[in-house]
Amino acid sequence: MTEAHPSDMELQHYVQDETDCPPTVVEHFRRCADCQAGIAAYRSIFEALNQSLAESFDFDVAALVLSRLPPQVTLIPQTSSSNRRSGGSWLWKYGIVAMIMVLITIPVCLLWKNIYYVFAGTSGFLVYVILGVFPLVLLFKIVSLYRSYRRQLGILNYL
Amino acid sequence: VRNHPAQILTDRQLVDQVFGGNPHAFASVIKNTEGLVAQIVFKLIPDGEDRKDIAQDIYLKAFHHLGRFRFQSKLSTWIGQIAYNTCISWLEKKKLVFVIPPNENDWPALDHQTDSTILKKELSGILRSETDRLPPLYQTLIGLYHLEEVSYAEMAQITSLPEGTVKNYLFRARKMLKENLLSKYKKEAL
Repeated sequence: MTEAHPSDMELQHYVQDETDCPPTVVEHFRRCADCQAGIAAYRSIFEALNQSLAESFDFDVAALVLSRLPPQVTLIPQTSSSNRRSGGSWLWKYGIVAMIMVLITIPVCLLWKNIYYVFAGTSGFLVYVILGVFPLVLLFKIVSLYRSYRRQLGILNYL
Repeated sequence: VRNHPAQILTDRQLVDQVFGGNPHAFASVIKNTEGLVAQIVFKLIPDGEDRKDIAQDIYLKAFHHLGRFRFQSKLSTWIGQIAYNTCISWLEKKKLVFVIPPNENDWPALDHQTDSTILKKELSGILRSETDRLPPLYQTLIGLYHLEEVSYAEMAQITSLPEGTVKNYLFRARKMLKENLLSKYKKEAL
């Protein structure tokens, strides 16, 4: 017989499925009056919980929800192709970044002489810093705007 | 969609019918899962009017996002997960503290009751009051396990908690119930 009292977890486990308990623990329960009282208490609790009334809505949920659905709604199951589409959203993002780069590069190439005169007095290092930092800041702003937009939609639980 | 026992539809068949535009199919989905959703909503949301809005919101979300259901769990578990997350979001938005201990006078004076039959009948009522004092998550888990017969794994999916944590919370909830009951009533009453 196990001398130390088994834990409450073991008492509950025994009430749920006594066949799954180690024989030493079962033997202890047979001889120990305190544990038997605990088992009896848990049996009553389990029985009462299993028989207690389930919660139920006091209105017709189905009628309420169906009345809110648009009459001609057609749901489209998300297939592997639509998964590819969602995976393709990265391509879409890269496309936008590429487009921005092109939009920046074309005027820079076309107006290179003018830009050169503007920066003629400044050091080459400063020019590289300005031309390098500006697109980076722009990119950072676009990404943070996009993230805040996603977060807002997330809060509204629509994502 | 008929609900004759012989014609009980699988989750996949039900979802296919919803995609096919059959409005009764979604009504069946609601009927099959509203008990589980009620368990979650009633335990987490204190106000009746809010429960109505939230129940509606849960099923509208389920309908509009049904295309994302991957059949990797039961449909009821997936909807339970939506219900749980919707309730948590709602509570976060409202910043509500929703544990309201019931009035001490609600407790019947069991010390004077000796008839075990009366005690048996009253025990479920007493237990209900005592369960209402538990933290809402414990109440939710108790309701899901004992009334809706949801498995530990499914409860873990619904609440996004590890399965071990779910088991531990359930054990702790029952232990709290036992200790509270024993501290208030004679051991013989149980």
